[in-house]
Amino acid sequence: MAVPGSQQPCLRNGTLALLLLLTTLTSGLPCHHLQTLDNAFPWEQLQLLDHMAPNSTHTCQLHNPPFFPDTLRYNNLSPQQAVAAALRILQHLFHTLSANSTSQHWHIQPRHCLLNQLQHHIHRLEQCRPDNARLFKGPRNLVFTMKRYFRDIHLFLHAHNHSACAWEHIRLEAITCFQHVDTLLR
Amino acid sequence: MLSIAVSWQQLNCPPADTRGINSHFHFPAYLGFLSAAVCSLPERILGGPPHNLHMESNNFQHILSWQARNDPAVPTSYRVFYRPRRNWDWTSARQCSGTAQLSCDLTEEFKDTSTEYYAFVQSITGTRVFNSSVLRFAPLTQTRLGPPEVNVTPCLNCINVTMKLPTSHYREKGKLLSLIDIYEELDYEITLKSQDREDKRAQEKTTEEVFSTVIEELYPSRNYCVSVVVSASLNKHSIPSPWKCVLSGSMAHPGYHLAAVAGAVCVSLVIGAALKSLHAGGYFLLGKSLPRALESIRRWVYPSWIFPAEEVDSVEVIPREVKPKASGCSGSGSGSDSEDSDSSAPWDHNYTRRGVLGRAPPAPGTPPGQYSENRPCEDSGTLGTASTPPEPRGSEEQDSDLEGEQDSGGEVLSPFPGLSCQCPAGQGGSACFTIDLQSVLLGTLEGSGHGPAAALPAREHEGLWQCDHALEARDDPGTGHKALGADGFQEWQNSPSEEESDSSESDTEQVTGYMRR
Repeated sequence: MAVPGSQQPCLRNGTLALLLLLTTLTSGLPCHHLQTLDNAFPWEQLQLLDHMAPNSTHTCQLHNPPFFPDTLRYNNLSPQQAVAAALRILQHLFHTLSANSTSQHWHIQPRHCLLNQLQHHIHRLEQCRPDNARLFKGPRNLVFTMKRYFRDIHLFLHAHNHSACAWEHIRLEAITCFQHVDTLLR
Repeated sequence: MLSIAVSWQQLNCPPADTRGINSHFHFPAYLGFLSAAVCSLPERILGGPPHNLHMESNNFQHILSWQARNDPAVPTSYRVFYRPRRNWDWTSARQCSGTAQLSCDLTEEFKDTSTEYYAFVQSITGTRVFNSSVLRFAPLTQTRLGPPEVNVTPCLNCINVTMKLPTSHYREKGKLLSLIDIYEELDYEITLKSQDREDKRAQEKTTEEVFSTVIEELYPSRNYCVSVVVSASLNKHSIPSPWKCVLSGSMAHPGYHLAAVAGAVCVSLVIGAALKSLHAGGYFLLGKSLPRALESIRRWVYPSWIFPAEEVDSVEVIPREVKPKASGCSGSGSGSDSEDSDSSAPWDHNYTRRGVLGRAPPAPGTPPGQYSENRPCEDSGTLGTASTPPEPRGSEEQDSDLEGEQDSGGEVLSPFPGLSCQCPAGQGGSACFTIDLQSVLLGTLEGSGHGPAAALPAREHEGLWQCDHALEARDDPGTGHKALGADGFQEWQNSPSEEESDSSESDTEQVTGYMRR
């Protein structure tokens, strides 16, 4: 006579295997639409960034503003690493642009649209790569350079009390970031 | 200008009434008024900063243009300054330093496509310098792309669209780069226009400078127009190509030709077979002449026809007595029958009894006019008819044959060999002859009870012979059964007057028993 308890490990293993299989399948499904999503995403974000501050001429000058690193611009990554890098950039941007101080200087409606689309795109990329932190196993200096860049942005804003001139510079940096994300996701 | 003139006049020409009392009071007023007038002069007289800066950029060729505020008559020079966003120092455009034109080509100045540039225009009028507002321009996202070169060629139910990207004006390290080098991947969208609708096809990507696509499932021989728009993921500013139109292909599939030819051949064969069968069945193109009876009818209808003359040979008439032969003939008289039965001389050796082709012997008691074959008339002198051509026995012999006619009612000669002669009731039988009626004198028979002056049936039926005696064919060993032929029959011209005049003569001839030509 079979012991009922001996059947449970087999059932558990089968369930886990099935779950892993389903997870793999479901995680791969949104990536099929990533191509079409990426085609329209950068352009719409750029338009919204322009509409947030249309009258800005950037006449003010600030010391040591952060600029997008050239090492991140000209780097050959694998497709998986490129997607992971794009996801990281978008996540940082969302964190930076969603600060409350931006609402004082930019138009509200374009800003809301920008943040909504950014969040949606991040969600799609996260479904494609569920564990972004572990999968982004690119070159060490590349990862370090990206982290340092976004840290400098936060320091810059803090140093200039989140002024309009400082936010104007960050807005222009966001345009550069979206352009680079478009290059990574091609 | 008018206010200044008035002010100057007032200063030079003080009023007479107030010259002595108000001169000290009005002079400062005049001076202040003059200063205000000068300050309110339009800027175009003294100059001003350029305005309405506009960057016209197509395929990374950047042309900055502006408008001036000063009077064109006043000489003004311009300078264009620019800088990338990262640099805080302004750089003067070398090609546009001190230019008098209102535009400047900054293609060579904007070397970095990924960054954003700022530019302003400085105007110099005399000693006055004016700076315009700053213009922001990002070449990568704001230059207009296109139009591409489009070439359309037709194909079978489709059109082939070949596109070529426009040439880029951007140089990197002196080398001219293409749009693919800059953007790595471009999108193109084809708009297809036909006579009644306009559709935008799905956007496609390309990584080549020259590429093509085939638009299928089109109507043949229809005009289609195509316009192409090229864009990038970061730059949707595009210039569409002009419409290019072409007729879609209308060449028939090779198989269609074969099917059409095969179908035509089959139809032709079917029609030919049908015609052949109809021809074989004798429905048309018989190639046969009408029967003599019908031919004669036709000639009777058209009496004005000229009939060819019959060739007549001269003959010697030998009178001889012709005995009537006994022959079966429907409707013959009893008396005549006996006389006919006594006749033993084969009368038919003098002439040939003409038989009727294709005629079935009538049943006994059949009405006259019907045919009977192989039934010689009983009581009538058998009227033999010579087969074609008529036997040269002489007309007298023929007349003697005619004399054997017992029955009254006249001698009836059938001009229609094809018709049967049936003996009328009480008149005995008779036979039909084929003779030249133009020279025949007709008269009544001896046994018929009619006098020589009896009217001939021809008189009664002017222009129309009727054969009411059965035509009987007898096997003549001498002559044999002769079939009626159309060539033996001679047309004759009906002449009622001749018949009447000849009737008396024919009566005389009847006695001798032959007919006189």
